[in-house]
Amino acid sequence: MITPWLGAVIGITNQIERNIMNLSLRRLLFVLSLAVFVSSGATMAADEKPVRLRMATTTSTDNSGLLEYLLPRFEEQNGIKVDVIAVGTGKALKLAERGDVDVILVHAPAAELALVEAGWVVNRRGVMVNDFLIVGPPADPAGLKRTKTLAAALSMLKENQGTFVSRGDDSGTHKKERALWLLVDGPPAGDRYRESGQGMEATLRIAHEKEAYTLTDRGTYLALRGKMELVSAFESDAALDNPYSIIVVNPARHRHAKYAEAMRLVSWITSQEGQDLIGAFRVEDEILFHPTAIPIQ
Amino acid sequence: MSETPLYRLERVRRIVDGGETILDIDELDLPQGGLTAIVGPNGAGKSTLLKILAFLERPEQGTIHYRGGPVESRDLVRLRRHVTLVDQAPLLFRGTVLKNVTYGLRVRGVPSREWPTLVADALSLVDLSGFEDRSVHGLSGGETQRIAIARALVFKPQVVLLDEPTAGIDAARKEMVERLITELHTIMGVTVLFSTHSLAQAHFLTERVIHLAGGRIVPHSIDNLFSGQAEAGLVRLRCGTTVRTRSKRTGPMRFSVPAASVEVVLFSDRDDRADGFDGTITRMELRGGQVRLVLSGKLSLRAEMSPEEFQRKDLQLGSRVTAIIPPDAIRLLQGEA
Amino acid sequence: MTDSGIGWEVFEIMGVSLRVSLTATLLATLCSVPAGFLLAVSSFRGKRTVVTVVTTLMALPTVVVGLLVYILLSRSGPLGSLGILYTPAAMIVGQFILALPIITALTYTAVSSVDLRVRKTAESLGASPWQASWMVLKEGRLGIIAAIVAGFGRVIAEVGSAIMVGGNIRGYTRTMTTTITLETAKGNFALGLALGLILLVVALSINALVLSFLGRRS
Repeated sequence: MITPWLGAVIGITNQIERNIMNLSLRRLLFVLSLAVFVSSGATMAADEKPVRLRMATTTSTDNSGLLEYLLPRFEEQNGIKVDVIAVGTGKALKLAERGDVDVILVHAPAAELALVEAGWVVNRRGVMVNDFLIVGPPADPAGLKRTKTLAAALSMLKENQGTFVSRGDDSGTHKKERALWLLVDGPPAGDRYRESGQGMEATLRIAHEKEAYTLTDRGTYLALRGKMELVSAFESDAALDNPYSIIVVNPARHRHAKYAEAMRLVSWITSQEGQDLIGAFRVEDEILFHPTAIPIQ
Repeated sequence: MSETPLYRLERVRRIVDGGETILDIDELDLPQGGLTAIVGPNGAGKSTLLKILAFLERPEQGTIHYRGGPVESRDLVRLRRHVTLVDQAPLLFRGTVLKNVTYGLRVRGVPSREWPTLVADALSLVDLSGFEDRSVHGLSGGETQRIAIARALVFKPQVVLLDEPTAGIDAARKEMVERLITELHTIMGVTVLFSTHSLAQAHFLTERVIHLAGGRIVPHSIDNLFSGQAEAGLVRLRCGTTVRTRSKRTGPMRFSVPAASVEVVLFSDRDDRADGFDGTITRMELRGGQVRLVLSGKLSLRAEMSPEEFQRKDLQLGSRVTAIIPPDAIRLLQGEA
Repeated sequence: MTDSGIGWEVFEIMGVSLRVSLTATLLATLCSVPAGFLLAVSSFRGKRTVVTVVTTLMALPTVVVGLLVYILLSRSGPLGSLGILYTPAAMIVGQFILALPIITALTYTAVSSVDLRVRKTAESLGASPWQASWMVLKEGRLGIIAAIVAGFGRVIAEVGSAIMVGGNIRGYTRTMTTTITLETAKGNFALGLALGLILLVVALSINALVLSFLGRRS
């Protein structure tokens, strides 16, 4: 029964082997080099020409789509290509300190000031503000929707039912969250408090899957709202304001930093044009960021 | 001989990792243009000797002279281009016959326009014309053997070494290979060495036969090889008889007795000395200036002597004789019994 | 990046992926094939240890390589003056390191399994040591090609080091895998899956192309 099958299989294998016998290493190297050459040629043109400015920013800013809306205009006007590296605020600050980027757009005022103080970065300018909100499952097991003040909401979270998912990644949002818990002497205890160690989107998704609460910036929440069941549980408190600043790496510390180009970005983004554009940016028909560099009439 | 030998080996020893000496040659000259057979059982050192002659291996001790000059390690790569060795079970490179046969030309930088003629010539030598584009995948054992020979001959080496070239191929092909060996030597003037199990084949093809046993050259051109049991001072042969020896070694062993050491006297002239074997002269021939005899009796023995001695003793074909093996002449050999 | 915006951009992303991974594979091949070959044909004290180490390095986590390369190339790091962090060059460095042990170990295996008589046969036909080595390499070419293809497979599919030292910069260092990571984070699972499928198809086509081109008679 098996023999004809086996025979056929062996026949085919031999055929394949015979074909592969004729492979040549020289040819493989040639093909590989050719492929590298062709693929380089295809992408090289895009690489070289413009000055590249490296900007580290938070995932929340990047994923809101704001930068894709904003930066092309700046790039077009100035002939500068802005490479956006989206990381947590903690890492963005670290990258600035190490000199791996030229400019940062972040939202962690205390940490920013510390870095300015230490002399690693200069020319900190406020750009815009949006706000944080606490989101949670529609059933609201902690009963946040009934609370009026932020402190009350936080103690409900701490004392009542429901789980809270923290970013736990030293990002701007995480720094903000830790500051908030100080109002009620620390976060919930035990397994009602979880750290995701991931970005805002991933953390929101974990909260959604686990039917838990989390602190999020409005931009990321709006961008993801359609894909999950989380609803706003508490918002609109002055303490939940989320101010963004643009800061330039100190050229005295990192000589290679592209200070002049970075300053052009700072002036453009804080100019009337840049600020108007930010104010006009909408996600799902909601205004996400309120410009703060120039007082709005 | 006044002419410088092609190869001259002096006190050559090949010692393997375990410390065992697998080849131990005091002296060996191989003439230019000669045809030499190396005969011996498995493990006798035939392949090792051929590899050394092919400059593929270097002996741990001793010197090799090639064309009169001593061979240093740095010469090996250069000298390899003069010599080629065809293995007993040759390995063909993957791909086509053409690729295999042209390999020696390629490494020597022979211009590729000369290849087709050279390849065609080499393939016709081994009766495999038109095999150029065949894949080596699917060649028979005999074809593989002959392609390997063609591959070795295509670059016209000065010395061709063949390790058991007729082992494992059928009678017809064997005859072809034997004819090829003869032609290489006589028509093309190539120096040829081949190894074989068969004493008959060796003597059929050439007068020059080297006997190798246990890594040593058995010093005469013809030897009697026996196996049996060694006891103290005594060797008990397979056929039942015993001979005396000087050796004190014991156990199963192979022995050789040089034909020239065998004393032959007419049965009527014998004295009462022990260790005599009675028999009849069944063959005799004159070779290399010596008379060779085959004695048949309880023990079949080869003997060799000068024509003068032969005449003095009044020996003839069919004579009843007694053969005496002197205890000194018995050499105990390493290797399997 | 919105869902609709990814259309043409996908080709650009594929281009970056291919360019980076092919370059890294080529460079790694140039180092690893000779290294694996030498490892296979030479004998020295501690060879077993070296082989074990190289084989173990095949399991090197991509993020560890990413981190090492980041530390190395960071402006504050030893090679910071090169200024290539967050460029395709940095990703090439990371993937080069990832491909090295794979191609070396698999080349070692391939060459080790070549019949020992190949070298002797080549030498008996007059080959110099280099020529004989080349023959051994050619006899082991099946395994070596498999080694290179495996190396390419690993680097085109890795994301850890690409995102860490490339920075996932749109239109510059964004590759197939970093895009998938990003889109997954944004909850665009379908798009992520589609990109994964495209990645597979791209890898498959490259392999098929390479093999079919090589398969033709020389």
